Amino acid sequence: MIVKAFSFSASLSEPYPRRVAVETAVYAVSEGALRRLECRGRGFSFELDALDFDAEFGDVLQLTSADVIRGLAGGSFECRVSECDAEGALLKVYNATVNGRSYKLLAAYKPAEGKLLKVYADIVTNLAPWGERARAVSNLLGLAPSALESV
Amino acid sequence: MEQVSSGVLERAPFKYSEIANLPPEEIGRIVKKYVPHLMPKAGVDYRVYLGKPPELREGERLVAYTLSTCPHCYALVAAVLYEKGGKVYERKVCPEHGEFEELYFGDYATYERFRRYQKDGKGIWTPNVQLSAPCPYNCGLCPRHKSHTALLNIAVTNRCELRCWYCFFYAVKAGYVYEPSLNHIRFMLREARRMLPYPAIAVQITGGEPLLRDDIVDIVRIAREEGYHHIQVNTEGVRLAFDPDIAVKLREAGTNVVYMSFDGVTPYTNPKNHWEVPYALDNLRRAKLGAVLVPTVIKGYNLHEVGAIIRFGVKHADIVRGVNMQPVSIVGRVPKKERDKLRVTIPDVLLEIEKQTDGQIRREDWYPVPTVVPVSRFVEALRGKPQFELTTHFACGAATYLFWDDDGELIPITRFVDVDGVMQLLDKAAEEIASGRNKYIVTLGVLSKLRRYVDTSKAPKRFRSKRKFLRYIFNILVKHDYSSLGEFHYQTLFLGMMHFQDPYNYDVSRVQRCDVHYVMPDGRIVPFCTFNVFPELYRDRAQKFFSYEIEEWEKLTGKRLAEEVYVRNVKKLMEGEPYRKAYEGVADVFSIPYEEHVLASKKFGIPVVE
Repeated sequence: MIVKAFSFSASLSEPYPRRVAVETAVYAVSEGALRRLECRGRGFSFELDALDFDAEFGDVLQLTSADVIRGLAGGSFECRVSECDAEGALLKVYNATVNGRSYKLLAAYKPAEGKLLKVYADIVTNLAPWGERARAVSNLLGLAPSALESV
Repeated sequence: MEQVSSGVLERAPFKYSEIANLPPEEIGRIVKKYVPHLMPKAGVDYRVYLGKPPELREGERLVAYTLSTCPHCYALVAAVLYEKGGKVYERKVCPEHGEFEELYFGDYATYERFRRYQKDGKGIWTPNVQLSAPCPYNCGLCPRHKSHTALLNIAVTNRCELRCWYCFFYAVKAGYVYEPSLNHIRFMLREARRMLPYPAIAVQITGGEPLLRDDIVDIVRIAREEGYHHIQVNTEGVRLAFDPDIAVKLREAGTNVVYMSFDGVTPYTNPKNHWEVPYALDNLRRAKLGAVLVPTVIKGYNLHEVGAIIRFGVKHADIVRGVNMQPVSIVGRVPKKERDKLRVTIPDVLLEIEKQTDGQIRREDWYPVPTVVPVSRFVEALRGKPQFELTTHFACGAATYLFWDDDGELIPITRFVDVDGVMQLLDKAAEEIASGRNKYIVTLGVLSKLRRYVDTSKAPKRFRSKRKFLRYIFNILVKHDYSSLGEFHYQTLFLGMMHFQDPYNYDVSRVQRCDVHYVMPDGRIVPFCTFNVFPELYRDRAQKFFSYEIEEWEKLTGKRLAEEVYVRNVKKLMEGEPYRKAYEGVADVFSIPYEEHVLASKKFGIPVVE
């Protein structure tokens, strides 16, 4: 299964100014531990990637492809799409900067009916303390308590 | 099982009456199973053409890019917003149906002023559907959505006793009766109460004509039982005019306000309910149940009466709580030339109000809806949990509060309250509390500074006491006291403006921020401007699926749908004291010959007893 991940920096002017940058790391879950995946990179295409971008950041960052399109007048958007071969459960870690404030955000995925289902996502407007979030993700993915220390 | 070519079931594979009286949880379990069938289908209901947005032409200045839809085939297409001649336009090209260009916002300066107030919400933490299609074909609400429900609409019937010429929605034309049972309604209302970060607390019961339901009072009671603080009933007012008891019963059951269509002060501009409104207001007055007048504003039709509508509201301010104008949404295939004759946007209406009130209500007195977000953020900082926020798109709506003196002078709140100053003060205070400062000290600071932003010497006489005015603000902000807000409302007239979208000016950026939603019979919660702009994909599809066939409904109820037609007795209505008094000083309705009254009613589609 090929999984997409997005790393981008956006400076958006409309309807209000926003600066968002995200570096995404993708980890496979195996035997209670995390293994960072090596992925192939390519450029972003609204035609091909808008829906996946929304699925990735619509909830986590409250940022959608429509926001990006809207803000491009007088703004900028640079995005690298990583395509990763993956099997089984996954963890995505977003190192995000939103208007100068930094966050480490998590999203967990599990396979179901031939697809990867998002079973957990941090939402930037509803962030619990890191320990609480790390515990929730570890439990969901069957990770050892220390597994998230290095991400 | 009936099946259409797209593979989408058109009607449920059971009679609605078979599930209508099941317990709410059981109804919910059944209807939710059909959500995947009812969702719009890619390639069938819509296509996606996300190519380059149209190029700018000479004399056009880029404002923004966005996504919109083709008015003919609903394809999702790239669009450009540009300024030309001081106005903002939208242009888009559908590969199949060509170019569409539409006025988006009638004044660029107002666009830029309003834009400064945009603030986004916290999103939806409990989405009802997974994200699997582009916006607006994935409603809802989906994880992309940015605003919680500020006002939930629930359509409780598609029956109507009026036969307005332009309407294709009501049961007789639709060919089915959509009328969810009380248990089904309870399920739908519960769905919206489950929402996080903030559950729906305000509901509008709408239709069709909701007062045609014999159990309308029970519906209000159910909404109250399910935890809704604010309940409004949307009506054309006919039953209210003729049945004094219904207003009392609605109020006793928990209705806060009646939303009543009111398109103008003459029979020409308001043939829908010009003659009934005075009687409806009289009955509401007796029942002590407030009304909000809701004019749909159309260029070349009633735009010239917006000032008079406000004066009518002020004249009846003992019972009219607000006037909420809605610039027209153009539905159906309407050629550009025709659209240009009808189209008005928020700034156009604001300018007309300024002209027609001799500058007493100026454009600058209006603020876009998200202006008040700092109030919510401040209360949130005090209470430590998410609060009700109005984070709709700045181009969707505007509002102000209107006061008046005994001599008839209209005084918007902005003349004696520095709204920007107050909002900046609250914004800063919320940030200070969030960064760890003692909330009591910050609040004391806010209260001591608030008086700087209020100049009661410019206020209407009854508000000259700064103490009294600040007490309202204190109760609303600090105590978050709903009754104080209500009391404040009783002494003012709320002026609102809400421009619902249509396929010609559609903007996905707006719909993702929408906070006026419908709950559908399958439990989905859908923004107003997807529910009504793409009726075949949302409203009609879902309602038809869970509807009665007309024959079955008539058999069950013993009623005849075709006989539910209101026939107006213009003569009798004009002879009554409430009619004479209602328009006195606002419009000289008696100078219009009786025959013209009758003609206006008939042309609109409402028959007259002669």
